[in-house]
Amino acid sequence: MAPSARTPRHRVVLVLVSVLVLLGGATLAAYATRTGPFAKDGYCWGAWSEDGGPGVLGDDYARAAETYGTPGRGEAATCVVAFGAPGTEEMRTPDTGLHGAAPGAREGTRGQRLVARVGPPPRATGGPRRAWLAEALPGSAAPLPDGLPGVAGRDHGTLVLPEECDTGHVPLVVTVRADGGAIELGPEQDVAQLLLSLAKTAREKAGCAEGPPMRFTTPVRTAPGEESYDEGRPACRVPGLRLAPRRGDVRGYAGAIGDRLQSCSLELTDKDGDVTARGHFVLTSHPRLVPLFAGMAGGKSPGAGWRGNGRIEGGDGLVTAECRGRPTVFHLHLDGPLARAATPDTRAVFARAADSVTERLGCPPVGPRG
Amino acid sequence: MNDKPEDTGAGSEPGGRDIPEEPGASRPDEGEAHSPGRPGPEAAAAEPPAAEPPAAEPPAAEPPRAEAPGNKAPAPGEQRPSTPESPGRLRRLARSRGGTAVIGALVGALLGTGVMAWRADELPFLQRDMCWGSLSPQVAGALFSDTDVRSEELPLRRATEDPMHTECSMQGFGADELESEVTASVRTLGELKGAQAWDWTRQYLSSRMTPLGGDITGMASSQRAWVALPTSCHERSYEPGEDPPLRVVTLASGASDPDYVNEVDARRGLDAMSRAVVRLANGIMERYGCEGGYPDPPKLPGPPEGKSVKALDDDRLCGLEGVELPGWARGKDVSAVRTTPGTKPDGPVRGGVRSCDVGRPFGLDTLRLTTVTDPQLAAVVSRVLGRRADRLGGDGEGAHAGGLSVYTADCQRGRAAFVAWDKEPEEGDDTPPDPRSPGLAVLPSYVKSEARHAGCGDVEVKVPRTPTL
Repeated sequence: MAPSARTPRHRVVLVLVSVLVLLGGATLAAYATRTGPFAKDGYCWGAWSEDGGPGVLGDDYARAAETYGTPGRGEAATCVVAFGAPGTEEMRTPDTGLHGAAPGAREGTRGQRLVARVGPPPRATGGPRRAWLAEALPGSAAPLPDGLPGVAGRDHGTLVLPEECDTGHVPLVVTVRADGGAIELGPEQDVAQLLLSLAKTAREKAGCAEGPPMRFTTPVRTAPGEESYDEGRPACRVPGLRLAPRRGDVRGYAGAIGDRLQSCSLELTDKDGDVTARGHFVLTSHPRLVPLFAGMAGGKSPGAGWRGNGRIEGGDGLVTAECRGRPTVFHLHLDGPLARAATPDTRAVFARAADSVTERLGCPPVGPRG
Repeated sequence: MNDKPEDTGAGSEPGGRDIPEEPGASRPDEGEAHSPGRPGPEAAAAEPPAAEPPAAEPPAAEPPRAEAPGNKAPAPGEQRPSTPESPGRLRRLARSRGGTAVIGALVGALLGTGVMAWRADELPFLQRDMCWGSLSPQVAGALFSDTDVRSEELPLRRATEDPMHTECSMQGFGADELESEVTASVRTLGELKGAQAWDWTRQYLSSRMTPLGGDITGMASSQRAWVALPTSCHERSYEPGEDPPLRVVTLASGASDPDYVNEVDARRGLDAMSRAVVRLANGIMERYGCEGGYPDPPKLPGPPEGKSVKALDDDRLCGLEGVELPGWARGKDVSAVRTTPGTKPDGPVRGGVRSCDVGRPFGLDTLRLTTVTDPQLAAVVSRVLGRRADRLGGDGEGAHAGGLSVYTADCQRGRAAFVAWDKEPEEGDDTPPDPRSPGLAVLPSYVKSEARHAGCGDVEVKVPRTPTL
């Protein structure tokens, strides 16, 4: 009697236990795979997810993101991520507008933003391209390791996608930058990781993910700090780059100084510390970075005694010439006041600066001797 | 990486907890009374290990082993009647709820310690990775020709706690006797100066060392190897522009510059040292919690040995245009030259360091010229001479003392250092010591030539006309 009465109760318990176990298992599985209620928020076409490594995606911040366009060959797409301490005023009404932050405006109240862009460089070969290059390859960034075509600084990163993503010979480039109230995005390693996940997603969306994935294992180098180029110290530490402004100080960042890429950003500041002019000196022989300068050299010799093709006008110089068997781009841009500070003149300064570098690299000079 | 093991750890606990939870419900006594009926559903779920099939023989054999030795004698007798009426103590234990809990706890504890030991890499009878867990027995073994390698290490501490040094000694035993030793160390070079800085420079920047190449700042030979840890790999984060002190991992085996190493040993040693030093750096980086790691280096070009060392060209010392050995320093004792393998003498300075040793083919003991373009390393080299050394003039800064000249100049990568060192001639040399310094005599032309390759532009060095003794 007793056993028969007990059996149904047992069954009920068994069924209940099984159901509980099943539920528990399912929850665990969902948690483990981060699906269902445990799914993490994805940002920027799914390139980044919460707790996805870099601090910007970590628990310390709340985030809101908005995308503008979808990455595709030859097309520009932008994604704006507003981030900040959870519950703050900025995060209650996050500013993810495309033109949210006026350039250069850094008010204390502005929300922090990360602006990601996937797209080709500007088609124009003049001002817009130069401005883009100054931002894409700044001296305040370190070259990415393991031969990756790009740079990473604390506030900015650039990575050129593989050839499969080119349209014509124009590469597709991913960039991330700190915007609004954000001064930086994190250590160089974090910025490089942001770039790599963005690059992966961009390649998938643009349909050019067939090649090997882009990756690095070598630690990313630390970006250089700001330097002052006064008292006869040559700008960018490049011996030929002599700038002697009548007023103001020349400061800058001498970033990557390697075989494949050398980049330096310059600023002329007045006595109030305001920037009155900017400059940019780049040399690269990286086969994926050289195309970023495409069309800027023209097809003619820059002048008597010069090697290669290029043009030198006012404060701008660009020459492409072979160096150690590789097509190499030499580029200098100086805003008006800095160009006027070039000693003896911009043409000579460009030639000497370029040849200070060819000397280091062990290839014949590009500029005329003397 | 770190999350996963914790997850499994947490996952294994509930398994252990299940057991106490169930019996904790009710009627501990009743459970024992109804034992014949109960085990069916419950014990099957909770306790697969032993005890189940009542007729089975092997489980019955277990109780005596688990129990006190006193049971041994009656055990055979007990086996038959054992099953339902008078179960062995273990069996009874397994049937009872409390017993299930105890066994479960034991199994859990064993599993737990096993997992812990595995996590901590302390499983017994396993060959352990040496030197702070960074060198596998295979990689470490390649450093020795003897079979048995043992290691001892000091704790690996952070730069802020131990600014100078920590070491790990690996010893090769043949027939249980110590035959050779390789010392691994992690040290902050950025804090060295004077004799210590020179000692390191002399040993680790010899022309015997080959740059490791790629993105690695480091060099290796069959005797020495070093790799600079990345600046991102420090305990605290540094502000942009703030320079953390240079920290390196090194390997040392025997003399830094033996007169001669036979080609086979040199090749084998270079391969083993270059691989081990990169693995060591990766291991240290992992222990410090910094991300990334370096790939194994490729097969590196090694230095020429003995007779294959190049003949000296007096007018192109170390293959450099415009650098001449002064007439009074020439002679048959100065007939051979060796430059850093893998670099072209009159070309760019790859890997941040280029050295050149001049002298007799075996020993190369007259002069060493070194160029250091890596700014962090150059800073160490520039601290070799103290304040009492004689200052040198010119575009850069420098000094000279006791046959050692060090000159620094601003270059594209930062401040570079140039060294000229009159190596002391061997004991028993019958020629009287010459008061003139070949190093100091060569320094101006050497710096002029190398400064271009280092991207420093024109650098003039002014040396006193009559060198001090």
